[in-house]
Amino acid sequence: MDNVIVQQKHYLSIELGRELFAINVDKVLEVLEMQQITNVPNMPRLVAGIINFRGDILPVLEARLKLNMKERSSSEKFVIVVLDLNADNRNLRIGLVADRVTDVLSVFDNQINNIPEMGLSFNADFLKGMCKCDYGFLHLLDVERMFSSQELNVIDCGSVV
Amino acid sequence: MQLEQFKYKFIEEATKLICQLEESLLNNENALSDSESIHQIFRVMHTLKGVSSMYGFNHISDISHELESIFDQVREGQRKFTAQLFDIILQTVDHFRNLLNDENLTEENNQRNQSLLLDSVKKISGADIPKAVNIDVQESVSGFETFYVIFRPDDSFLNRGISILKLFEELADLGQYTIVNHSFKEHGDVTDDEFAWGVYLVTDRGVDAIEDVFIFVLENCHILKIATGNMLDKDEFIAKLDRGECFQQPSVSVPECDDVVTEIEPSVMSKNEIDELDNVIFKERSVVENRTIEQVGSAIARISVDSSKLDRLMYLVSELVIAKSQLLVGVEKDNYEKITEAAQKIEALTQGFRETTLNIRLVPVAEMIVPFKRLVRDLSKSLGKKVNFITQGIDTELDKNVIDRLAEPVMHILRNCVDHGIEDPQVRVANNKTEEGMIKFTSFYSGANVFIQIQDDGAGIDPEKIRKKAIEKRLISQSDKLTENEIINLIFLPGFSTADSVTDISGRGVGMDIVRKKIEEVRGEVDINSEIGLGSFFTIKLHQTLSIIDTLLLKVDNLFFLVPVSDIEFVDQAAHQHIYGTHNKQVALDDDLIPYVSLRDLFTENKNYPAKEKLVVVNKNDKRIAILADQIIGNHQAVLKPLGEVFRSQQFLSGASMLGDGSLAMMLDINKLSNSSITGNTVA
Repeated sequence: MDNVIVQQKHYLSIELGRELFAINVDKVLEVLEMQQITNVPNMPRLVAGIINFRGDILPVLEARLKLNMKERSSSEKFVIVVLDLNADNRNLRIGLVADRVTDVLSVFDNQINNIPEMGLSFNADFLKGMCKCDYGFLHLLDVERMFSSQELNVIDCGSVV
Repeated sequence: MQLEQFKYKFIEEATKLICQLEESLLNNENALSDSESIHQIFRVMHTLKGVSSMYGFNHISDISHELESIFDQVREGQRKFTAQLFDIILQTVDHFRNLLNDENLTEENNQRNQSLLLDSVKKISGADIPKAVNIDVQESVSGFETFYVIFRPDDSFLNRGISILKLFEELADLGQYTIVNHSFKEHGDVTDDEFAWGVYLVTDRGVDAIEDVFIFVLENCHILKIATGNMLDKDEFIAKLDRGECFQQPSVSVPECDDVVTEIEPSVMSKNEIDELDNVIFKERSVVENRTIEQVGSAIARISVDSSKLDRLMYLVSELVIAKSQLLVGVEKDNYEKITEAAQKIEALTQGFRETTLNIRLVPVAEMIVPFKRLVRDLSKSLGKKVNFITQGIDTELDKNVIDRLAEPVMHILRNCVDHGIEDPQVRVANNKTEEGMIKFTSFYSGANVFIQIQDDGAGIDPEKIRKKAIEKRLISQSDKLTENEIINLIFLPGFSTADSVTDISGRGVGMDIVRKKIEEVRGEVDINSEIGLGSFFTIKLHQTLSIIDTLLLKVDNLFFLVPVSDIEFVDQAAHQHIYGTHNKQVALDDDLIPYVSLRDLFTENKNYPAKEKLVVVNKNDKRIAILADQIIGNHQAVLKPLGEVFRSQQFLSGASMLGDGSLAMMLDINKLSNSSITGNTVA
């Protein structure tokens, strides 16, 4: 075998519904406690609203709805994962509502497998892969893709006014 | 890491040097021989040569080394500062700017430009001011050269059916020539065997083209380059020819014209090479321009501030410290009076801080002019147009943020002026205008506003064309009646473009609406006036300070909204029934019928109207509308933040601000509200 050094990356694992997802730690700026989210009128349900984050307006989106999962009930506790995205030359910060965060783990690149063809209860377009960890199966989220310009355009079209 | 620190300092200072150089170059373009510019260029190259290699920027050092020697010669009077050199320096400026961001030369464009530029300057500097002529049949370099072709046909021509006449016709295509007798014998009569034609040919197509002409008869001719430049233009040379003094040598060797060929221009970089370099650098222009826009931002990541402003700030800080102590003592001693006093002091001081700090952020418009000048110059050159770029009032100050964000829309407007506004020189002259077009950039204060005007004396905008296009794009209908001004302002609508072909530069149809959007993002307004044949006039109106706005806080259901106080005319209240009782969406107030918009209707699904509606009457562009809300809470000094990309579809909200209790209130875009059809229409 050749001398390939297998890359190891760190991931933040978050819980949505009963599933576990992982986001590359490089993209995560902060994890915020549950707080009052100001609703912005006439936006699709996917957009939970806005909060004040470090002096700027941070849009907050429901991760569950982005992945076409069942909506979260309003009485449940939640956290907001602040993402710092840099694709296509833009600097975009977005908050993602998750049920809770569980851990930060390191995953070797060769532990990552492809996603199965079917059998997932949510939208697999935004997944980069899957890996097995102590808690179960982790689905690696492709957040750059989730919030690319095109995806945000779709949100645009979804809004009413 | 100390070296890292110094490296950033170097990059900053080098960038500053280069920007200063660019500015003075653009200012002195028409006075190239001005020695101050020459000295400045020499000094800059000298400095860069020495220091850049210290910090690992060897590429910069390599090029500046060559340029330093070239400009040493220029300042000593040994070399002329030609227009070509000027172009090279400007290209160098761009390239160095890119290099300063790409230390390890990782980007392909930079690598390419580096080798192109380095080769070019080496070529220029390598060419000595020659005394003698090098007679090699050199690689064909364009630019005129004089050749001597000794052509001696033989018998085989007849057999092969080669037409000598045709040969000379082809030769005539290459350039001018003159034919002499070339005899192989020094004196006396010559026999058939001993003579040939000697053709002095001047051409810019190089030796290859000549060989092509003689391709079938190459063994019957010798082609020699005798000089760079057009010798047949030189009287002395012709004189010598007439006297038959050249080329009497029997041998096919160097003709005796060295002494005539005295003034040979140093081997100039071929026009092709300059064009190629230009193309390469021009194609990256969009990249360069984007960089340029960033540089307008980053170049003023530092601003120079009047020290009196800083003194005032210091004073305020010390007063604040005192007020703070007062407050703490009051709290400790439970002394309500002391606390109130301290709170009042703090309120006054906050006001002072706000004013002073905003003042510090004010930067003169002049700081963003150089990239504009450059754009106009380069663009007009590449389009073959002549444009004079005038500025006025550029010491007007604007918030740094506003300046940063205005750079892009202004660039676009300027592009439009050069591309579509200013006509070709011939067209201008044919229309009794001066050959050189004018673009004027003016800036001035008026009340609480800063105005920026961009005016050109070009072709103007044709309202008919706009109207047709707008109807085509279904933006208006055939029957809509609009004033000429309204028609012209249609170009700000998305998807509008009347350029017949999408040029690289503008005309993609995404231009003007983005321009308006960006200007509105900094709470400005933009308007166009134009007259066919005379020119166009863009007016941008801005607020001097951007970030903190006095607003009125409104509440609707559980949402909070903000309206800028500067737009408000008056407030009132009226019974809900009274307002909604009429059919049209208007309310009678102040002896006027004013169209209204209900925030509840617009932003919520909740039909729980209050019995008494609060009305806030705003006036924008002489248009009055009434905004209905549940409650008017009070004044709020809003630190306005943009909503961001996710909310770009929100037309009526222009930002948000944090309230005292941590919740967010959204700022209403009065402009959009008054113009939209959601609001009732005024009676015509």
